[in-house]
Amino acid sequence: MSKNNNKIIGRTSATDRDPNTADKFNFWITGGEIVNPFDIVEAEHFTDSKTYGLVAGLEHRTDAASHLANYVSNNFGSVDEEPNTPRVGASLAKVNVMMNDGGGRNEDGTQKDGIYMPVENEKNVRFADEGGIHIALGIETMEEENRIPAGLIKMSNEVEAVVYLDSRYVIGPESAHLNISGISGLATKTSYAMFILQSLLQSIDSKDIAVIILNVKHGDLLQIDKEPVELDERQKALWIKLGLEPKPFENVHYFLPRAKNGTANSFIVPDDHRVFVYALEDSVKKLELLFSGIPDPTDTIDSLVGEIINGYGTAQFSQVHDWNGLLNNPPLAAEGRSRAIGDVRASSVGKFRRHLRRMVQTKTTGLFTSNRTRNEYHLEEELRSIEGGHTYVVDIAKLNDYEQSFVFGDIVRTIYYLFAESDVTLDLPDKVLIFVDELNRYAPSGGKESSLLEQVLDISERGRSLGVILFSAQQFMSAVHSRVTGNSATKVLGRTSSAEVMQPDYRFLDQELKMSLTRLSKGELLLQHAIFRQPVKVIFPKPAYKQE
Amino acid sequence: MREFTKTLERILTAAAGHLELLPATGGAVEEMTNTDDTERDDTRFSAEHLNVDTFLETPTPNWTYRQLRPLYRKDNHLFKYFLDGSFRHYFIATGLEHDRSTPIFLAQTSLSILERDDLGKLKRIMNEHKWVMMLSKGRISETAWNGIKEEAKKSKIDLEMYDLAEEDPVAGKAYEGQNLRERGRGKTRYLMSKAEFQITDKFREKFPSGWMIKDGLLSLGSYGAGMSLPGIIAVAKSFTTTQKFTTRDGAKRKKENISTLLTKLPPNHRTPVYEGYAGNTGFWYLRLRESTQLQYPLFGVIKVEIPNISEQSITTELIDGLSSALLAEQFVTPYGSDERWHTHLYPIYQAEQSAKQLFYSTEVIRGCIDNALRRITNE
Repeated sequence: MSKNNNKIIGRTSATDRDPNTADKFNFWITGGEIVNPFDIVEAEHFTDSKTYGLVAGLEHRTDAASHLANYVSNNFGSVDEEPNTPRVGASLAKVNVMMNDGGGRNEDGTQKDGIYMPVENEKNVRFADEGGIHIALGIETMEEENRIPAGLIKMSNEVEAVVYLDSRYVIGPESAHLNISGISGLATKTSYAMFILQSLLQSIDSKDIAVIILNVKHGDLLQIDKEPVELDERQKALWIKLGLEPKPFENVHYFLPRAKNGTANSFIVPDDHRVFVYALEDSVKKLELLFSGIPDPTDTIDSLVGEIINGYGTAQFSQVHDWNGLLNNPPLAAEGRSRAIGDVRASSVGKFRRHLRRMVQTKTTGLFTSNRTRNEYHLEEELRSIEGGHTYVVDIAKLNDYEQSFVFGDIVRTIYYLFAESDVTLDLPDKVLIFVDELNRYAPSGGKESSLLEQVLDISERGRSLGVILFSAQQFMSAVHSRVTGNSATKVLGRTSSAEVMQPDYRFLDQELKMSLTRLSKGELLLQHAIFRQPVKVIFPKPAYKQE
Repeated sequence: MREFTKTLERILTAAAGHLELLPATGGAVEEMTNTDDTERDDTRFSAEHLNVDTFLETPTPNWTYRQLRPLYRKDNHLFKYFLDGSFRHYFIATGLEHDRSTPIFLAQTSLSILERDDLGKLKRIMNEHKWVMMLSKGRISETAWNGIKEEAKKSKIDLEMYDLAEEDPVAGKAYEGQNLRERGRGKTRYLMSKAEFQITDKFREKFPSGWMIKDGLLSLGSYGAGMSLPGIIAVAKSFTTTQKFTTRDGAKRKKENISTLLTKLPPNHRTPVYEGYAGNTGFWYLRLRESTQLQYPLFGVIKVEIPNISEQSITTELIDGLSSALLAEQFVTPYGSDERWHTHLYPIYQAEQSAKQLFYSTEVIRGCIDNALRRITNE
């Protein structure tokens, strides 16, 4: 058992009204010591064991019976005089128990069983050192090859400790998925996602992992294979402290949507890229994804889409070769008028046509075309030849909302079925990680059922066993379907609003920790991982690729 | 705690060997302390000194009240030490021997001296916790008394045995028909005062300089000299209202009872220093708070005592300095936590709290006493 030489910062305090319990203990802080929420401390306990805990909240108490007592104490509200004897007060830390080390190791080297009797009164409390933090988080028992550096804990006494995620709980097989929440601009969600992807690719055998990244904002992720213009020494030191090399992504492939004029429709156009586009024949099997955002209370559109999917390629659809043919030729229309098909009445077909025309002809950014040219690619085909050790960036930043949903749905469905089919003739990577920001658009909470939502839920609930892992982000966790966030074994929380933390999605956090979320600084994140007993606050380095 | 339990059981076993023990109804009873104890003691000590007409201050004052300005710690840190004590008193049982009986009391007394640093922070520098057992020696046979006392002497905890009937300044002289339970409380208060005097001697040896404020009284009136060390004053939050005082206003002299004298005492003013019984102490009154802020005109006034000893002359300059420093002690206050907040000095309040921290919990003590008695009476 390592001996912690840190000085004593206080002693545990159990009172009649505020007892220590198996889950919590309190300690008063000796004068001159600074303690902050999320510091990890250790308290002496039975049989020389240590109980580790996370400082969840802090309060200052005095012996004043009421605020009125303080008012009276100052000569009935006078601010001219200074008290001869400042009122006795103590700062008190409220600590959530993380674990007890049982007092060391057994003869066979395993950790002794923890003692979860409440910590007694008047026991010495110290800041945990790096070794102690690892014990507290359960990192010490994590196999070296499974460790993924996930950030750095920086405590009030300047002690630093690298936090590792267990790869078995990030990309399976034990559990999977990672979800990031926080206010835009302050929570640095995309930066963290890119950091953790890079960390993962450097820490475990990357040739077995393929990464698909959806670029949803500007050109943020369209230069991830380029060296950064400037990465200051402090950032480099942080990468190195985490045991990682500050370097851009390797083997990156960019897929950019086509604009109406046939060029790439992106804020930044990387030198080496492919333009993707959707002709009718590429889209017909996933047509329902295009209608994910259209209200369909009687499932009429769904029925019609079913008719089209089943009929496409048959004699009934012989005049349908492209979007225009689908919109204006039989069986959906003739002589400019909608026609009934199957059980779907002409008026409903009319509604369908109006929506489809808007989406693929009048309002499209150019993503939908009659026929692909030789230089235009079908995304599904490209993704079917996905390789481990490669990163695929699909740009959807300039697309309309419905187009973004369609492309995301296409990617998710393609990858899901690719892995679900288990075709042994295909040389697939072991895992595919899909990162998407603004997940609330595709899997909203309280929203209606849609085929896109079903697809995302399939990945969340069954992707782990197939090797399809979802890394997602959004401003507000409460805006995302609870089955998606609930299935994320790792949750990363950045700064958010006090109204948001009151939502039930944050039930796993104590009240004090919830309020701490509203005070996080830019670049500080709260990390809740399957094996951690409490969430921890981490910092992480800026991405080591070119950013505008 | 285990040692205390063992000791108690041994002593009660010894007592049960000589006396029939009748446990207190419903188990051991904690005798509550009374906030007017100091006033009652002061009344007793002043019983032979009802007319106060001698000034002890040099030069002799020709004024009734003297205005002062608070002297704050940051300007001159005068009072650095604060002493207070507290006690808890339990009636255990009645011991019967033939037709004679004695109550058996157990008490714990504790004292604490705090030091205040120049930033105003308090720290405990001395403390003491004692156990006291009391029986009336005259009500039981010598064999019984000696048997119990022998067992008490073997105790490994700080426990002493006292005769309840022995005369002392607080409990006074025992008399036939006296309520011995009431007397027990007085005896404990006396023993605590004695312990305060003793700890002050030790304190002064260890810390020869620096003014100390002791809570309560210095004087024992007609019962003795009380405390007589330099650099120490006592501050009483309540005091006798039986005395009459000769006051001077220029050449005019007149007699006023204490209520009139103190009702007219303006805030931030003091009275002259009067001579205490037999010239052992000097004392004066100081108003800390305006009576308009309080419910009763005599509230907000403290009685200050100083030993009258040759190495410390009681000059107006000295008393003004002490009084000014006392005025600065009025903030902060234990308002809401103690009904005597208007005269309580906060560091004294904290010394009292510190002393109380040394007590064994009443529930635990009662449990120990009840268990010990149950075991003995069942055997």
